[in-house]
Amino acid sequence: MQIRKISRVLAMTAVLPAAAAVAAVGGIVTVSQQNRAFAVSNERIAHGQTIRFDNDDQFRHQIYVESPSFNFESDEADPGTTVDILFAKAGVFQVRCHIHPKMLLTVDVN
Amino acid sequence: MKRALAIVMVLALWPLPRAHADETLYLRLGGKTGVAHIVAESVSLWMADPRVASDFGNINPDHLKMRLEEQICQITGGPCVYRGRPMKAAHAALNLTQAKFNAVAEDVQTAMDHAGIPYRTQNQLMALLAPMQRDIAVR
Repeated sequence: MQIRKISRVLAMTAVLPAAAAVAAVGGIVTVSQQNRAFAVSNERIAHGQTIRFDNDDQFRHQIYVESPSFNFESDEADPGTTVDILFAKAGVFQVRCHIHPKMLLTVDVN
Repeated sequence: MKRALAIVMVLALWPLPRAHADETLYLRLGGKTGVAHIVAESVSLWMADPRVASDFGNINPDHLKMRLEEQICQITGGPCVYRGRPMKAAHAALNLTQAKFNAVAEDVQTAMDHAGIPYRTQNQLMALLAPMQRDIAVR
């Protein structure tokens, strides 16, 4: 499943230049944070996969997930740092930032 | 005798103004409650002020208030530690003008007016905030 995912993401990256800020490395999907926004608004992964959030911004971010089945809250992350979120369960989750409320990434975990 | 009595009365009254003068600026602003009140109104004014509202468009007001309360508490002699980023790093990407900095400062003064803070105390806080202009406004 992970290999398929990597292939799919790499293929998408090759086709869509706008998706260049999203990359899969070793089964980890990477999402960049820039200009007080996530580089993409939607991401599909398999359960058990991790999304690595790179803070490529000039601002701190503090990302979180709130849902009935899964919750996560990071510390405040300085520019140049990363935060990993492991999505162990299937479902649709919204990743947001406490500091910048317009930041939203919807993660579809199958 | 009358003179001695007068001196005693003066001495009895003397400690009160002295104690007041020794208070930190933090306490003269009203301590935790007073600073929180000033910060809350300042943030409300900024978010409604057409000169600067767009700069606060994607900022969680509660998070901003928390950091501002910490910062004002720390620089005025209160018991807090500011946990935010240095002013220069926090504002570098915003490309803020001096006019915007002045508008923000003006709103803080309005908030202090509404809170009934004496002008002398207001000026003491503004004197601590003013040097931040060098790090916040870049043009």
